[in-house]
Amino acid sequence: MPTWFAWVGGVAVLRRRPAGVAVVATLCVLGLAANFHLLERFARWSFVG
Amino acid sequence: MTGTRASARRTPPVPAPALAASVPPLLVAGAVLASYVVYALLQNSVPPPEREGLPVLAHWDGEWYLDIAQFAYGEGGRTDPAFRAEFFPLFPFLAAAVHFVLPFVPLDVAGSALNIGLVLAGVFLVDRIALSAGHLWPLAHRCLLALFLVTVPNAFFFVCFYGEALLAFCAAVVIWGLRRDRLLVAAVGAALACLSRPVGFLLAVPVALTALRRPTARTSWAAGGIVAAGLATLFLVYQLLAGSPIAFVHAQFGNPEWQDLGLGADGLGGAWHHVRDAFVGPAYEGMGSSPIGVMMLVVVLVFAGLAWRWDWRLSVGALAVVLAPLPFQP
Repeated sequence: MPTWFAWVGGVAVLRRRPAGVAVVATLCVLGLAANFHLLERFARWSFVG
Repeated sequence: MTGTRASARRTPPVPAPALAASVPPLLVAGAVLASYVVYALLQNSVPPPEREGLPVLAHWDGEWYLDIAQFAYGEGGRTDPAFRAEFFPLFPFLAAAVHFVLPFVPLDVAGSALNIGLVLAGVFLVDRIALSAGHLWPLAHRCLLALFLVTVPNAFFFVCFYGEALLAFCAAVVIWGLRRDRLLVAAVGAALACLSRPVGFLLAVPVALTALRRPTARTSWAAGGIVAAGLATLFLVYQLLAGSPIAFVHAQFGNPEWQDLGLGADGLGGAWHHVRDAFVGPAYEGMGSSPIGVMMLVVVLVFAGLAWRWDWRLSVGALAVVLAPLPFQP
């Protein structure tokens, strides 16, 4: 999932705004939770059910 | 040449900060990646337990990569070699090489460790950009960036036996090379990307555009040659090991899921299917099932703004990598 390099530009823009850092930090927390959720789903995924 | 320009050229470059300055962001990224591994180990009893090492990290499409690492594109293994060609060779070959050098490390563990190393190397390159002259981000911002890069949805695949980490590393090499005016380095990144995943060739676009701005420069021709060599190697590998230089195309169009859609027979339909699965699908379908889809939609909006806000080379690079998210959307 190499899209994260494009996020560099997003963070570069956001960090210059007053609330930008807080937005990025919030997305990090949400993203971390999403990844644990996805990892759990991924581990249980099977073509044979 | 004006005096101002001449004096500007004589100005010594600002020395780059020491490499140790990148340690804190690397620690942040490493801690998150380690947490994915630990969490995966906690799930380890769920998938088939017959493999040694960390089977959960080589789950699902990881099995195809495992088979390529063990049997290349020939007969044998647990997956159909005709469809196995759909998965590109560089990552499984590198994982096999690591396993060959360190035979006491199970193959899937070797691949996951390799991927973690590649991601950290990519984070390091990005951090060096943020530290370069004219940027000099504060430490807190750089740590936040590193954290961000390893927590975007589906980033857990960076610790799995998948090819995503390698392509992410290639993207980092390309962007670093373009930012530092190291066109040949960027070209090597693009060439490796061509061997990594189907959309890897898109990373050649920003390299080519940069080279075209200096059509008479020797490095521009050399960069073109490097990228072409990467593509030629890809075709050669498939020709030698799978019997056709475009075996990956045959494999994708032979996928029953595509044929069920009535799209597998023609290239345009196949291309649309790929875009839909890789990009539109997660953003659209995910909205109905989870907040992840909403987040991916935010990603799209952020990227759309980049072309307006950002340096054109990075914008093209961003466009290239945004087309390559995983289709996995549980």
